[in-house]
Amino acid sequence: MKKLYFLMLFLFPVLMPAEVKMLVDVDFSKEKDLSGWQFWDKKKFPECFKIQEGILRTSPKELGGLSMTLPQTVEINKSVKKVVMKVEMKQIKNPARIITYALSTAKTPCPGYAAPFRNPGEGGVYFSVCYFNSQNHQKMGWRNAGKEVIRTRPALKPFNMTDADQWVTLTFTIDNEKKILTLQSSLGRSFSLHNVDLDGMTLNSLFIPAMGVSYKTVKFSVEK
Amino acid sequence: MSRLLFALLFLFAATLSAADLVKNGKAVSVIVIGEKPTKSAQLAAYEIQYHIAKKTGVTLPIAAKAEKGKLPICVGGMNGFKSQEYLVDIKPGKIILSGCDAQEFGKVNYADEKSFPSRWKECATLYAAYDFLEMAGFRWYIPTDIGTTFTPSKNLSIAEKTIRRTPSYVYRDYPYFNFANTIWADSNDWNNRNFLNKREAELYSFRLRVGGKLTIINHSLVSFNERFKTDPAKKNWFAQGYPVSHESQICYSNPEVIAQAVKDARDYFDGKVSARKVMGGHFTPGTLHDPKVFTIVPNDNGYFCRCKSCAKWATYSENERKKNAGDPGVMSGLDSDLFFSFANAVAKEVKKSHPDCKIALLAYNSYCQPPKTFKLESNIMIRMCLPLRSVYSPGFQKNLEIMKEWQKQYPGMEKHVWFYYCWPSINVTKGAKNPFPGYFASHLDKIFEAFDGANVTGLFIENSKFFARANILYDTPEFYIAWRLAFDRKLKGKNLMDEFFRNYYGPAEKPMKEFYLLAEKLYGDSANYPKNVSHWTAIPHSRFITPANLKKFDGFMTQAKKLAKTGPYKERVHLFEKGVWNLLKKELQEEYTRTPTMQQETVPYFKNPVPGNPRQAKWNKQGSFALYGGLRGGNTKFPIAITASHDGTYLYLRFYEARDTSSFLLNKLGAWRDDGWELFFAKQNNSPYRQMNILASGKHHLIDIPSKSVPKFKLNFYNGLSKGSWMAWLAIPLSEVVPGGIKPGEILYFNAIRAREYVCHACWIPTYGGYFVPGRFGELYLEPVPGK
Repeated sequence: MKKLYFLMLFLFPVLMPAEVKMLVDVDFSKEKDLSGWQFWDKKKFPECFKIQEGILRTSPKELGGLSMTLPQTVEINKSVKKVVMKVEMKQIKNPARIITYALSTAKTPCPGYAAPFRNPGEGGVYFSVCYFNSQNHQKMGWRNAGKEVIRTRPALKPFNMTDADQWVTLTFTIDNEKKILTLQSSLGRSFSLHNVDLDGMTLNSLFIPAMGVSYKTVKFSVEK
Repeated sequence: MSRLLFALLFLFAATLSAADLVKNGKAVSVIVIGEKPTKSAQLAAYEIQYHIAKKTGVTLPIAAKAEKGKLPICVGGMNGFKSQEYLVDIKPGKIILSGCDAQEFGKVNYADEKSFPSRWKECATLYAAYDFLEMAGFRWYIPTDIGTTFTPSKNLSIAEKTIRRTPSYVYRDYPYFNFANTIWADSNDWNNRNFLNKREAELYSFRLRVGGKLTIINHSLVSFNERFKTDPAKKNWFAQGYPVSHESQICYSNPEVIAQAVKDARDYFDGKVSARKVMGGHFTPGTLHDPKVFTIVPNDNGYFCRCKSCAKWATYSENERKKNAGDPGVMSGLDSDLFFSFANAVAKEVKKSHPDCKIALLAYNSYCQPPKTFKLESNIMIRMCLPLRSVYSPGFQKNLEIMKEWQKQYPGMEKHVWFYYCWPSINVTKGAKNPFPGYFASHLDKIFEAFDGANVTGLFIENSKFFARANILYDTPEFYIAWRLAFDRKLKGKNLMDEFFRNYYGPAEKPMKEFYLLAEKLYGDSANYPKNVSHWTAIPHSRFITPANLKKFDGFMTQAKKLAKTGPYKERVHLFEKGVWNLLKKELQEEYTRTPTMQQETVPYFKNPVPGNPRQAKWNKQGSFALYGGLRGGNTKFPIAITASHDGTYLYLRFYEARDTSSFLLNKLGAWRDDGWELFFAKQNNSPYRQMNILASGKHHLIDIPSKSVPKFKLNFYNGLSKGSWMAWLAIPLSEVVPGGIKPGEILYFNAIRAREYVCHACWIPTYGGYFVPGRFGELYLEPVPGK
């Protein structure tokens, strides 16, 4: 009886279903405006960011982006199994740009700053992609206190994680159990950064780029 | 009571008679050099005249004869001295400054250093002159007038005194005379070849009394490679287990090789051959090297012969080797029995025909300790090569023990020391970075006492340099102090150090001394170094200069500048600020602000149809590593790439670059200097690591750091050098790439530096330091083998 009790105690955490909490679930087909989002340059809004036919369209001339403060701070620690950011996006062919997405420790990267990390001070994780089949134009990395700790790029051809004028879903995962960051594209490609120990990092916001990119959905979830 | 005693002593000193040289701005003495002065006496007279004029504004006449009514300062002209012996005799009526001089009487032109006497011939009258000038209050801390200290006065008189002595060490030498013309040097400015004029450099060496009896003990066995490497009949004269090259070791157990070395020594002693021919390039034609000393030193690498007879001299088990070699900063005895058995056999034979001649050896690197299984012949002398500047390292004390051991076993042997001042500054030769200065003057008394204990009689200081230019500010005051101690063992380093700050910085003495002592403390503190660090490792400045220390250093500098408002003191503080402090701040700033550019690359798995053959690995699917143009980042200047994959058993690497290869260095400067890649592999982002050098010539070299042992495994290396490109393919067993091996799914720490003659042309991870920065290895993630 005692043995059974201990076995159950042992198995409880293993068998316990993982708790997935969706902290950001934006479907622009259901949004009327951009409430909750911050813009790096308020003067340029609203001509640079428009919701049309259920899609957020950004201006190609707008080189900054949008940020959203997470409804609650996510501290990466032993209790966090996975953190996932997922965007349905379409990159325009002209002008060709490298676009960067991030999860930042900054509470409000925007307004006033066109990038998710300020130097010195802020950290987080990011990935940059482009539709060119170029290794140098796709990367992901980990930043701490305003400085990059390490970065990586895809090792195998083809390298491009997006495609011009085509809807693509990008899924960026922090696997805190395996200490791996992975970027997966619906084009069937992925690459990873291993050996990433983010314990202690507090994520406060997410950042998506403008530069003519369109969005259907932006999602952010935490699995514990 | 004690006050009264001091007052009496003071009065007594004041009543001692003194010789007046200058009184109220007028010359009351004359420098007398006789009718036929030696070169040494002539230069001594000029030096005395020059210095006294600097101090008093009065130029004393130089004359052949004494003048009535004027105090004669008799320079040279006496006989009966032993080698290097000199006399300083100061009496109210006459001053004698003379010593053992070479009988050379050519005219010396004070403006032309080519007319000066040689420091390697007898010139002891000069020693007397400099002793005399020290009594007059002069010191020479760094070259040129800015380093010469004295107190200006309209009067000059020197108390009565007599000294007759010889220098404590018979041999005093340093290699880098090419001081920067600005005195200070920035290592980033590595192309700068503007040197201080030779006259100033030469005078500085004279004033330090560097010279004596010249015995060049340096890598000499290259003469075998020069003469015999292309002779097919003599292939077995060279180390077995490696291809014969211009830097191969020789087979130390081969009787024919021993016989040749004996013949070389005898021919040299008999004047039949030149030193250059039988002892290599360190012996330039016309060298004044002692004709009764024949040098035998192996080439500067660890590729010792692996033949059966040589293997008999392996006195250490593999375990002992690992244990002994794993101590960074310590010279070992791993190959002592092998090399010394050869040298001993030569010495034994040569003694029969030339009993009054000596065989000179370096005790260096893996043959630094005495042999374990036999006694060395009595006609052998040694120069012990010791990195004693590494006072932070546990190896420091062990190196002192090595000296003790030599003395214990060979109390009567002539012993010299090769003192490495060149670290940490020499690291910049592989990385263009101004290091944190290795100040350690407070340790010199202890070190010289250890020299005394080992009966050391000769000193070679390999001084600091940034590329070609000697950097005296990184050796001040320890360079000056060491030479004073080598010349006169009655002196104390601590007193010389105190005197330096007082004389050199004047009103800024206190803050400059505090700056120095803090820097010295930080440099000497082992807590500021990563574990297992070797003296080749470039240490980030932030390890020494914390924000709190930065504030302290800045405070000392501000205070010093406030206090030293005029004259040479202001100039010297300014020189230190430019030549040391500003460089350190610049490096520190760079460390804090530069993007680290640390990278991870995934090494994909591909099955190789011919495992171990890198030419057969699949290369068409992978991307290549992102490379930088130099150790501080920047763009590459020509197409260059590294690609990697693995098959679960081997790591495959392919290197490619497209450019004109006609000017590549191939088999010219040797391993680690010719055109090639330096590769670093580790199991952690730190020391220990395995280093490889693959050369465009098709050769490769391996070494483990810090143990300095040579790993024994087969590296499959294919080389493809054409007119317009260089490609290299490597297959390294995963079980051997680092000690203990690495498995798929794990991280292998790695860096690759495309190097040529110490200059980085491209790299994977910029180190912002030298080549050897294990904290700056990138990461290779070895993709797991599918299904495993």
